[in-house]
Amino acid sequence: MLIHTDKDINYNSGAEWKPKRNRKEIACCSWTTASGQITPILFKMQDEDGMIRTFDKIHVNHSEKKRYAGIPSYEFDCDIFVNGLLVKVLLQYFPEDCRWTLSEKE
Amino acid sequence: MKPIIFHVDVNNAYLSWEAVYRLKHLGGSVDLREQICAVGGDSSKRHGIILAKSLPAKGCGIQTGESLMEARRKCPGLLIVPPHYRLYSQCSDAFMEILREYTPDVEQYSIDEAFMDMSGTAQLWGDPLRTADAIRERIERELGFTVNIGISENKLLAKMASDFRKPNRTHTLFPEEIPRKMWPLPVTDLFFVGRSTFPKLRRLGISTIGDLAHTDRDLLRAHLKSYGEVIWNYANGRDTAVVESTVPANKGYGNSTTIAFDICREEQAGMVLLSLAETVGARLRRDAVKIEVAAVSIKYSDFTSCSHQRTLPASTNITNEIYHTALELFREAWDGVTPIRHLGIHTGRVRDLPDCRQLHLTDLDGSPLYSERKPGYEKLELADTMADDIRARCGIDSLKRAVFLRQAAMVDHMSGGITRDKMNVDYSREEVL
Repeated sequence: MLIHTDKDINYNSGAEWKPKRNRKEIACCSWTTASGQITPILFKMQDEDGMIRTFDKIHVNHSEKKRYAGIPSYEFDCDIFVNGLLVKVLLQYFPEDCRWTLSEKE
Repeated sequence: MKPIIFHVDVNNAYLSWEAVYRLKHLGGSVDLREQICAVGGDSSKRHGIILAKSLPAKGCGIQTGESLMEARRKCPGLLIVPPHYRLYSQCSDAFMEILREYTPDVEQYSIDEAFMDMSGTAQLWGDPLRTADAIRERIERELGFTVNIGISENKLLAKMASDFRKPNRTHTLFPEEIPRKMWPLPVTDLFFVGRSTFPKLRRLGISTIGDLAHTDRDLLRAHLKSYGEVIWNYANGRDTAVVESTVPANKGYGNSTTIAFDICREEQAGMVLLSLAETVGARLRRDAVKIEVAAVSIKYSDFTSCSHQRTLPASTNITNEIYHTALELFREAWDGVTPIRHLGIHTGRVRDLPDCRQLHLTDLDGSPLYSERKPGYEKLELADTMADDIRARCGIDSLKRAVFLRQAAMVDHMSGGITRDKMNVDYSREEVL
């Protein structure tokens, strides 16, 4: 709902179909405690119409430090509200690149 | 106390690591481990061999080490991804870091395998099988890739156990399990038994590890000398090697490269040898050692090969000395006609840096080694130190010999080992599914 739009779906032949990346780069504002614990506060992302949308109601259910392929990252299992509906998303922070991404959870 | 050794082996290492990177860091949605996929070199540079493959690719008959052309012939839809050694090194470091949390006695056996001496840790971690499962699950959860763990009383049996059914499994192979788990396996599955030994064993009527274990040891020694005794001991699960957590010093340093074109002229070969001497010399100086023996290896375009070596008058780590010796050896070994596809410089008899150098008449006289301007070895040492310093600070391409500027497109000025193009991947050119 949040990520997949009509533009992501290829209605042409099945042979040409390729899975779309379930991930978007986002701008994120986070709070870091003195002990180094990070919490995302709000994030902004571009929707399919090119509009920048702000999401500031983020509920972090669970967070975990990961080192996928040896590269450190922080994963935040979150609930956000989109048009009044609750959507489960995964926010990831990559400290080496200072980059945040968002993926829709299945 | 019963010794407990773990052997931890990453499943399809290079391919798994690339798969995890694409899934978790590049936002890919296709797991390469589930595709008919392989990691392969660049065919245009004649580095086109299969370095690693997925389990489905293995099912199609793709083998590590075969050419990309051969692999594509077997499986036209084979997906090939380029090597990414910086990523492999990061994955390997993170993997080893986790293992070292469980015991200080960890021996890194290769980039993707390690032995752990877990003897006496049962009071700390509990049952070895459960500990191995916990390590395996933790690696999968934190790092994203899977490993096989073999448990036994010695390194050999632990290694054999980790090679049982894959992926993501723990296996035990204790001495009492040998007849049931190891002896029915083909003898080629035994560690240290390769393709060339198999025909010899076959002629003796040995086809399984059990056959080998039950063969008369003297008969094996008569046919295969001391090696026969070694594999007989292995077949019976006997191995006395200990887990060595400190890395033993290198016995030799060498680099080689497959050239993108066939070399037919001595000047071209000289360029390649100089570029190899640059990297070998830099490695020797980095480890603060000198060598006394230098050798050149040549592989011709028809895949036949030869090598030639010499003991130097004094131990050295000077690039120019290594280069000139290599060039002389090359001149003596090459017939001047047969096209060459691969050249290597190898060195041996490694010595720790001595404070002094045994002077030789050639050090004082106009030596052919220094035929350009006859500088002394001290000047060359200083020049090498300076070059190493500049390259360490500003990158290896910040300083190159003028001869490589002229011929920049032909030979890289620092050849051999893992070159820069294999360290990183330009993902903007790659299709990440």
